[in-house]
Amino acid sequence: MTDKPVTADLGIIDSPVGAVVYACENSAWRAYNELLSAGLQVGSNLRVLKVPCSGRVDEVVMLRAVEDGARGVLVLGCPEDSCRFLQGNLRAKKRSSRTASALQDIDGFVGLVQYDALSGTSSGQLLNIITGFVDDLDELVTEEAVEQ
Amino acid sequence: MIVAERKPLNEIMDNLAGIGSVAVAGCATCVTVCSAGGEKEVSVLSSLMRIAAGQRGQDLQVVELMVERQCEWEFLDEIIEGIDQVDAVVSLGCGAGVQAMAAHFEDQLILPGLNTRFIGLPEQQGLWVEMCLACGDCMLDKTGGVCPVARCAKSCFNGPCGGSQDGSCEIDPDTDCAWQLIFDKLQKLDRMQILQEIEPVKDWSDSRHGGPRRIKREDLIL
Repeated sequence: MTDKPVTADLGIIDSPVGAVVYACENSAWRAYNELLSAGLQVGSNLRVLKVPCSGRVDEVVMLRAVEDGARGVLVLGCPEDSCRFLQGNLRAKKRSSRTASALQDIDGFVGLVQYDALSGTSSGQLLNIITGFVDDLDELVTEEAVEQ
Repeated sequence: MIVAERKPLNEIMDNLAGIGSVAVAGCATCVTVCSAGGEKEVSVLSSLMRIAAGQRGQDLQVVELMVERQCEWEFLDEIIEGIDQVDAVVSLGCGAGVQAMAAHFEDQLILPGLNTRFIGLPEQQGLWVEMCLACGDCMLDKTGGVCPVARCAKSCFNGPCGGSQDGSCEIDPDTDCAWQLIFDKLQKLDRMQILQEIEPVKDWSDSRHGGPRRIKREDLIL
């Protein structure tokens, strides 16, 4: 897979609480499709992108999403010891943490970068993770609005 | 190789106050290998700068450049066009690279994006350690290839100090005692007799104490 689908046009994220979810095709993406098959939606203000492995989502990819307007970036990989590429999920976890830390250093920036793990059959868990992420993001944005 | 790490973003952004366009210039040699100033780090810093500029209400255009080696004029000539189109350059080269760019592009504002830390090597993925102080008078032949100048906290030349404990240095249990390493290596090489010789006080005149150093090879000068 080239960079193109990973850093696909994120222009549709034009809402102030827009977020991107990078979903590993071996786990979260399957769970996401299960959700869709069941007729459930994860939120209109999210864009879920399939990636070959969460380890492919490096700092550049996450920051580009933020540059393109996303307030939140959620990276979803496989549970530990279950990565098809052995350590992609472990790298994704550390890279998400590093990116979140780098963004925290920017005065005034309000946003959320997180990593989480789940299996391909855990559609219920996926819904909980995304709902929790969106709630946390909403809370941050609301706090910012109040402060302003 | 030269090992460096990125300066804090706010320090970089403060230096760019009032600037309208900037090039972030990476270097494809040492600082690429130590993941501080390569192509990926240029992209990461550029993104962070765009986001930070937006938060500061600063209209800042950021372009990304790569140089094969910032510390050589010939390679710098290749980016003249890109340099001419911006108000300032943030160099992700080592201290030598920043100074080479500042000297080569006389009318351009060149700012450092890295702190140059030391000459070292990657002990493992993501961990770099200091190996050489460039003291100018290498004594590795007498110490089994372990440098007491750089790797002993006190730069002891005749065995360990009293702070050596269980193979570690007193400054930090995670730091090996250089003299323990020297002892172990010479023992393995069956060259322990070297340690019987007293090493005289080091002549530091070849080091930094004589001011900036230079090496001149007449046969190479055109």
